[in-house]
Amino acid sequence: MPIDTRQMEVATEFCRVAGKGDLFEYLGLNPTCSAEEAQEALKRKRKYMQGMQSNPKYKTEAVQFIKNYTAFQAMLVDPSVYARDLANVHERKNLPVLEMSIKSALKGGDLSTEQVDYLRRNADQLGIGEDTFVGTLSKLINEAGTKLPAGNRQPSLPPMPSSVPRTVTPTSGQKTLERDPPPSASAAKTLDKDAPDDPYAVLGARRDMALAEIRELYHDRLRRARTLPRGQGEVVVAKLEAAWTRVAEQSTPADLSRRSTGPPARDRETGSEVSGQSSLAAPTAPPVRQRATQPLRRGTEEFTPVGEGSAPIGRRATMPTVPDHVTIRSASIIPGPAAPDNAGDIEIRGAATRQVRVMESAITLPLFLLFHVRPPPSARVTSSAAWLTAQPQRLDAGHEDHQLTIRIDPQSMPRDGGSATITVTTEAGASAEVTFEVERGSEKSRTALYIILGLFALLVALALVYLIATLALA
Amino acid sequence: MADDDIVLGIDLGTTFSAMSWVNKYGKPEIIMNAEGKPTTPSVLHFYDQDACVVGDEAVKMVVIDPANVVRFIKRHMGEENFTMEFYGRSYTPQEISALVLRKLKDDASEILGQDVTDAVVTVPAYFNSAQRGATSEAGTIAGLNVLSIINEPTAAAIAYGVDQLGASRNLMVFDLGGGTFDVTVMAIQGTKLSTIASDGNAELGGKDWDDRLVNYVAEEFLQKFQLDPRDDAIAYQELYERCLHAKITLSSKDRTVVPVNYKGHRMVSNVERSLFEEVTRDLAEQCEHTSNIVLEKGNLTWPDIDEILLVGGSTRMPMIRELLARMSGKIPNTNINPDECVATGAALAGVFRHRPNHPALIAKRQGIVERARGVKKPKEDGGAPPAPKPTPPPPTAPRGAVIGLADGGIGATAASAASGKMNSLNDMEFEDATTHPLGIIVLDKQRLERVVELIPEGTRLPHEFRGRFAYAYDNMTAVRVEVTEGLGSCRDEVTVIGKVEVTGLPPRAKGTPIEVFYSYGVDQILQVRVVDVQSGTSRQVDITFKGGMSKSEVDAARQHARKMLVD
Repeated sequence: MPIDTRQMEVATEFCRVAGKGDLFEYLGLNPTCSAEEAQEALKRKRKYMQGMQSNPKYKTEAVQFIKNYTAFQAMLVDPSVYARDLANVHERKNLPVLEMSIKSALKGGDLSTEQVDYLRRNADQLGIGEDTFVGTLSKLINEAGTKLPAGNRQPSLPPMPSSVPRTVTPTSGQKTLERDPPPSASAAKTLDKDAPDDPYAVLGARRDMALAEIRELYHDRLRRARTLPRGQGEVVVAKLEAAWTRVAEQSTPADLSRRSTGPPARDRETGSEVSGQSSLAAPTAPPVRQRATQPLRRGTEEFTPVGEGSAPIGRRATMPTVPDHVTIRSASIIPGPAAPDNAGDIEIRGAATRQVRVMESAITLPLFLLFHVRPPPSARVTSSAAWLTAQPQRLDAGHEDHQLTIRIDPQSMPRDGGSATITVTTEAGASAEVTFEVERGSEKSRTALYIILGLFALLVALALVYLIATLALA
Repeated sequence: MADDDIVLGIDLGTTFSAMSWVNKYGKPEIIMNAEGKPTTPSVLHFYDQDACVVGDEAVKMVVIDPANVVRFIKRHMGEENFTMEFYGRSYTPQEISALVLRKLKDDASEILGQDVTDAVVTVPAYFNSAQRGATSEAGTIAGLNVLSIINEPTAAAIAYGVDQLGASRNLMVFDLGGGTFDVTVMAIQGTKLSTIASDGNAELGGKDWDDRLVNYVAEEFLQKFQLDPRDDAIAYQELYERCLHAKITLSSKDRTVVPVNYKGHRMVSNVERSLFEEVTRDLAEQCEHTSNIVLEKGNLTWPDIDEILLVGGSTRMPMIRELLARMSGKIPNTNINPDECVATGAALAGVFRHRPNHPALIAKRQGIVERARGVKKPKEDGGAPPAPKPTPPPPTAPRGAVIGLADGGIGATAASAASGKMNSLNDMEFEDATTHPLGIIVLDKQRLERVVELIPEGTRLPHEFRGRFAYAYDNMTAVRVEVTEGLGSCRDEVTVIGKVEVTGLPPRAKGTPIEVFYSYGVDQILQVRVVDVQSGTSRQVDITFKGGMSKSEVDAARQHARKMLVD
């Protein structure tokens, strides 16, 4: 049973007065402490505070502690419940911040994979659990009338319980993004509660992925599982560990070098091919970029590995349900599988990564696109940061090339610069992107530069005058 | 109850307590405690389950066993959910105060040679009903029969005015004790003492001056050694005691030192009076501000005040005396003992109010009657001189007691007692006034709750109020009256101190009149009567101020206090 809201508020306010984050910190306890340890710590503190209730430095804290002692005792009867509720409170407090970030990103239209991952990292930093993040993201996407990234922009999400019945869709190489059908009886029948967990499904990996990639997925999901409430998290962690052990045992050394990224990405600068191996063995930062260029097959159900013989999802009733309008995709978007059919549909002229230096004022840059597919489709242009915008955001079908205007607004970006990506996505799901790594300068440095240039010019002029004068006299 | 049964007057202070009685000759006397001192520190040390020591011995233990020592408990009277735990048992502030009262009672009984149970206990004028109720409960738990709870300034004014009757004068009682502060303006008219206006702060007292000095010295130590003696319970208590002594020293000297020894580091802080006054300036300003507010409330100015009475040990600070002298243009009266006058006045109040046939009062009245009749003594005509009246033996001085008051008080002397001369006691009437308004929760025209004040602050007691209200809705068959205390216009700003419900009424239309009577007596009991005008059905409830303990809890606490060993 959750702790009474009023008690939580009192405890939070008390901890604020005492300059501590929560009762665990105040009492010097580990959040995983036992009930006995917690009660013992409370008693010791009570004794100390009784001696301090007239101490001017501690009297407010001491009196408040004494007055709320009974409530604190009740709250720490089961420290895990308090820990869980604390996490919830923290989440609720920071949720508006996350919502603002998501809404800001949604202004640019559909979210890209990078954006979703960026938002996920945001949520993680704000102490917001995965479930809450997914729920909030789904809600806001629904409100905005947009959708989660298309097939090649899959949000990386941890395993969800199959309490949400979903149709298990085998990989089919479909080119169109399909939303998961709403839960239905027939869908439910396809689920087998008692089916053994497939380790690849648990890890969200495909069987043809390299072990290193699977390991990365494993670590990612492990990290997220540890933010889950006590009791639930432990179950998921245990499953992940077991799954990873099985996968690792099954893998051969050759798997480490197996590359499933499909055809090599095209180096847009030189036109030369870049070996898939090098691009994957050492993922460049930010790694999400790499994923985005390797779109996942559409229609992939989250818990099933891409590939044949995927096991149906087992029910995990302990995890919260996911709204059925949210398309949950597998986390295995990281350097992906077989080459997408539409790789190379879009070409962005120029380097894939561009370094730009800005001062105080906004700047604009042109960006040239070329569609290689016929007929040229319509497309949408999105940005992963508010300070980087592209116009137009919608490209009409029937035009082979387009010129976009990219605007960088230094006033909206972090003081020490940043990196953001413009992504162009066709309705067929093909995409291309370009990254801008922006460095911020200042007017002062520009002024200094002008002064130096001016002095240099003056010196040159003086030198010329001297030369002319010397020649004239000679 | 015999008219000469002793009524103890008890000043239950934040830092010190005192007790007094009025002897049969009409003179109030301070009763010494078992240690032979006129005041007892309001400090307890629990050294075992069901055993504690009160007073100086407890003070000694504060630097040894601070977790089991309790002081300043008066600041928590009436406070909800505040308890202290000693040896596995929780004690409310009432129970702790009861142990102090029990010590006083036991000492008084021993010294006076008889069991004393009746008492008048004083409280700061600005105490609210919960705090007064808690004080009354403490007395009950201690085995006392609390006849009255009266305001400390009133008691002090009684002690001062009992020999100043006749001339009309305005008296300002400036009571700055260890933990509370009150300013009351009273009028003495003939034999009547009445409250004109009062204000105060139940959380301002000498302790706050001590705390400032503690903080100053601790910060100095912290800057020097990056260690804070306040973080350790024992080190803090040692520092506090030294600062307390420094404060007292600075009342008579211009400078002193405060040595600090903590975790192997030593420091001597030089404190001058000017520095001390500087760090406590805002506290003195609060006192000034409150004094001005009281004058405003009473529609008075400083020239209207004839006398300023200093009550409470903290008024010994030169800065307070200078402040009052500056504000008023008068030198405050220092003729009465600021530590003892409240207890003295409480004892006198006990006699005036609860012993109307006290021998001394009777003697006074007889004297008046005789003078009025012109009764003369028979002449002596050369016969044998009349046999001298046998001189009654001087009363045996009770062990440790001091006959009469100390320091120039209005006192009996042993000589007058020994002469057998029956000193009479000037009868006095005294009126207290409410310090917090009393009201009622009603619904206004928008059907929103609102608090209506029925008995304003400063209303002299006893007082009756009669108000007419109306039913808010159609078909009401019951009505509930919620009695509030405090300044405010909505429920959240006031305290509901009682409820009266009248049920079983025939359905009433909206707007049907209903009368509410508030009758507030000097015994601190508020009678609330609600009358349905149409039918005459009424219900009366006596709202006595509750301190937060139920009757059964008080009884249980009393049983426990009786068993406890209190040294």
